Amino acid sequence: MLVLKNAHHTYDARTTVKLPELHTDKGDHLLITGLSGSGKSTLLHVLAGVLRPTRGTLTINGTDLYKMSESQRDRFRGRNIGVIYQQLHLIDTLSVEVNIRIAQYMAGIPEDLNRIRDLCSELGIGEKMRSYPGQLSQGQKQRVSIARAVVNEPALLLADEPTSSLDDLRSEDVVGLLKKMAEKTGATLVISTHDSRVKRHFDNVVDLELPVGEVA
Amino acid sequence: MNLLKLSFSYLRRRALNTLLNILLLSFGIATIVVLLLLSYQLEDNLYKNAEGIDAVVGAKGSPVQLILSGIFHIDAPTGNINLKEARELMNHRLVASAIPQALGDNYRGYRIVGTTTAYPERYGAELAEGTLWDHEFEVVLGSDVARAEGLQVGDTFVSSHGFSASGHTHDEHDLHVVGIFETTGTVIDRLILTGVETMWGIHEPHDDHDHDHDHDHDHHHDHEDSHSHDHDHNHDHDHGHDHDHGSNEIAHAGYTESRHLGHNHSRGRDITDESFLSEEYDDEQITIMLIQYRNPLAAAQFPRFVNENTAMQAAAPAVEITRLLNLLGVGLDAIQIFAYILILASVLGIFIALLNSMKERKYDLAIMRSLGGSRSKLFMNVILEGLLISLAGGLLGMLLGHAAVEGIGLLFEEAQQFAMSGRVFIPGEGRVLLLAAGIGIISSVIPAIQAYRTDIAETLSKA
Repeated sequence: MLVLKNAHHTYDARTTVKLPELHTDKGDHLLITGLSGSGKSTLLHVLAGVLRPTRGTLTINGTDLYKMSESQRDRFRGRNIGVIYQQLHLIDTLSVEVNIRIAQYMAGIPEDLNRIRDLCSELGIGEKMRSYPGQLSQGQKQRVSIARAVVNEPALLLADEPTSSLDDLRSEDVVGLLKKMAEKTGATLVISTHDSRVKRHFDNVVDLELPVGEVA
Repeated sequence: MNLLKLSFSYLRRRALNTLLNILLLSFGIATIVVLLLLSYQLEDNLYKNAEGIDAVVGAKGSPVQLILSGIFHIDAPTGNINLKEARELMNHRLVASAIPQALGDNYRGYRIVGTTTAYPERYGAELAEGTLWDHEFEVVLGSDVARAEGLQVGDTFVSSHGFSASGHTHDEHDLHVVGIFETTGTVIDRLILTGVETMWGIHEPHDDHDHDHDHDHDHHHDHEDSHSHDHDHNHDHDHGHDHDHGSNEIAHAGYTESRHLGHNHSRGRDITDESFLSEEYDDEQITIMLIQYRNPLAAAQFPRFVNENTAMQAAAPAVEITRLLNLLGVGLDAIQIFAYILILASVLGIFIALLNSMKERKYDLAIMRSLGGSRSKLFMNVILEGLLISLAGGLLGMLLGHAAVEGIGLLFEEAQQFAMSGRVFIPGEGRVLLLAAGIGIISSVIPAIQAYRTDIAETLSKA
């Protein structure tokens, strides 16, 4: 369902990031590892539909993402791709509930408060729906971010370094949670990380190498 | 969830800044609204009161003063004119009608005007109750006077000399309220009308009071500054009336007697609209005449004739009002510039606040884009924020402006005379709201373009 072919991205004349060939089926879980500078972020942004690669195609469920117009891609992204960024990027001025609801609103999907409520209680933040991000712990914030990424039941769930700031126990929890969420909706899960603790949970690992001649 | 809520949530985060910008804008808008309301009502009032009056004739002096005192009753008159001369002018071939006014007294600041019934008729004033005067010392009240002083038909009061409530009191003559006018929205509402003879009668020394010579003397002394009833004149007057002294005394005796019985018959002499023209009053004076021309040609000839051939002057209300408004316009323009500076400052204030806010929330914008929000949605989100501030400022400004005008109307006597009200809405105010909306859009368009251009990948990878 996710196919990335012949892709590379050139930031300026000198810096070119070659992206790996990817091919996953529905419900696959994929781990992308590599040192910083190996192009993990670039790959994640391309997969998230927010960075057009200089060359190459990305197909999700048969749709060639970068052949669409920008507004079509906005719409597709909102409905089919959920992303949990390393910096969680919750909107401080909005309550937990609205932070999740805004994903439905921005994607143009009817707002479904019951869905949000169920999701929150499942993620253990059911009591915090009226709170603001500033009032939450880092772990709670991450769960809000997860809820926001999965609320629209995306086909592709992306997570960027979800365990980097967590201790071993929590790290296990979060990976488990992400897997559970992906399985529930049949989403393809792609996690990008340099955290070796995560590796043993995944069979399918793509290790990015530092490009030759590049110094990280 | 909608854009409005989203915009509002950002405004709430910087509530103090938002409030300050709203206040700043509202002061500018309020100033403009005050200017609009004041000048509109002033102009409206001036032209409405001067309608159908082609010229005002009075003693020589400032023509603006003559107009202000003769039509609007807000300035002191330029002086008095002799009835004899005035009568000649009334019969001038270019004059279609002339309404006399004898001024010089007030009741608690409300001017008493000795005139003919043609005067209220000109303003379409109808009686709410009672009748018009047909005797000396009978008065009909304008609606504001009756309301403010709680006077009713059948009540009596004594007038004060001059134009302010603190003048010398003519307590030797009660004035009898015989009627009250409906509200006209014109100067009539603030006046007390009576026959011309009443004004002469009030100032006439009475035989009863002859023993009180000092009092009389003071009385006439007062007159000199504004009424020019000098001693010589009074002397002549007494002399001229010697022959019918008897009848006068009888009338007066009857008058004092009836006071003890009640007010029903407490009247002076019978008067009509023409009675004051009688030759027996040749030595009396009136203050002003409101002239209507027989034909448009008169506008060119009549004022020149009066100014060159008589001791009086004629002034055209249309000309003087325009001149007055032009003079006033300079001051209004200056205040208006000040208002626009305030508004410009608020545009900058809103602009800077939004620009700073864009820096703070660039990640928010990127994440909203990532969540599927289109560029135009983010653009509108920021424009909406500018609009919310500016419309709040605009509405608050209009509220403040109306409250200020209402306050000015209530607090200042001068404004009361123009019946200033904050409860009046004028078409120009719609443009003020449009101006406010324009301000919101202008000050938010650059920040909105920034939001529109948010590069998701670049922003998020910098985090």
